[in-house]
Amino acid sequence: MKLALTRCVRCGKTFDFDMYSGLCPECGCFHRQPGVSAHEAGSMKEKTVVRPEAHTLEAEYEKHIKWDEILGRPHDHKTVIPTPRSSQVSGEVRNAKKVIRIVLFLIVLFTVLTVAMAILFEEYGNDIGASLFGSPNPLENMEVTAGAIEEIHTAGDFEYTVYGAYRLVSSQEAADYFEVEIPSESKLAIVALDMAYSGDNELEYDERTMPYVYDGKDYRESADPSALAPVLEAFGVEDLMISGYDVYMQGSAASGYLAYLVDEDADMITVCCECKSGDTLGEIYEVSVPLQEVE
Amino acid sequence: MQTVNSKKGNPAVIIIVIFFVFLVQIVTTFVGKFAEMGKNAYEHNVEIVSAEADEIGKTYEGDSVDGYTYYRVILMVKNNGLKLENVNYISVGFDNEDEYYCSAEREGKAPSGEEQKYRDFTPVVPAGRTVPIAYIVRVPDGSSKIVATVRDNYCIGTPSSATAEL
Repeated sequence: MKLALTRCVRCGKTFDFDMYSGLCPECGCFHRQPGVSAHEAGSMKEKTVVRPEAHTLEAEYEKHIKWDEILGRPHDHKTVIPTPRSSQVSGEVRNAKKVIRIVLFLIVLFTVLTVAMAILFEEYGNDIGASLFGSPNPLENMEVTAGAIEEIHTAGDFEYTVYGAYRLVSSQEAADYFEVEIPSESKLAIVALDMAYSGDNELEYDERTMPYVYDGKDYRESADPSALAPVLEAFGVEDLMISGYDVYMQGSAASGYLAYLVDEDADMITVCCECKSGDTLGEIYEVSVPLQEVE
Repeated sequence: MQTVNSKKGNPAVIIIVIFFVFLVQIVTTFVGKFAEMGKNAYEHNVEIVSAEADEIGKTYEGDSVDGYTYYRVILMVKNNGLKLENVNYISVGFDNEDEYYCSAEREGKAPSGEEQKYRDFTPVVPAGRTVPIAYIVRVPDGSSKIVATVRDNYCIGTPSSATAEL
């Protein structure tokens, strides 16, 4: 059988014209049959090989493999299937349009979803969160227990011992002797106590509740000792003040004082210690103590 | 293989995967936030049990404004949450005015200023307690009611309202 070898004008590869129907197996370039005029070749191209169908390509592939086996040549997969350039380009355009449509759809979906979630979060976040993840009543079994001075009391994750309360200065004395300004209807008192934490989890800063007091009129939380430093220093207790940084890890404990601004007429205060256990407040331990004068 | 390689490099697949990852991330974030807010629902939970208003008169501690009358509003505020709450500000609305936030002066107490000395002396509502909170409120003449609203310290819990008839 006579081979009609043709050299590709584009890539230079030599191939059998009949075997590949004039398409270069390397680059896919179409070639006119040797001895056929350009006019005839053009009409033939239009009729047969403008765009090879898939089954034609498969047949070419099978034929190529067969000839490789006959001639003992290794298979070269890269050069087997001709790649028609026009169909490749149109395919890429279609792909690009598809990608753009998908991206636009996802952007719109993403935006709508985010806005919807944000609105839900802002308006109904607490309710949705409570309904989805539960909203246990942390005070369901809360009780108030009365204690006594110097009595060690353990409940929940905490242990407290209250030793006493001392009046340091009135608002007038604070202003006159220490140049510290406190509200005119108040006086500064300190409470001596021990407290310890034995919970499993380390307490976050906003979970570190210090004992609060009731002065006969209102409940007061502990005061910031830094604003009262001159007075506390004069009474020698500045370095003994307890803060939230002292009692928050398992096994941590502190012994010292907490400062309170209480009503100027108060002679007795009630120290209230929260005995939480995890997310439950099961008990409030209360100790009533007289305000003792300090010289 | 050529066919497999073309699938691997398909930009549409890559973009879908990236968006899917973003989607999962945002859903995860919001779920986390909802869980956190669900926790807030019981950590921060103050409510007004009752509200009463007593008329003081046209003048309070030497102050008077034409067209206004002073009232002492006593709110019973209950803390159903776990956190001790300050109730420094209430939102007050009247029947003929839009609701507005009012830094109402506490009766006989220092105003809730920004200074630490005042914050330290501000009465608090401890967890599990019901505490009376008294405010002096200036009300436009002709109003028939005061609607008081409280929120927790961080304004993340559900607000609670009560109405005092004048």
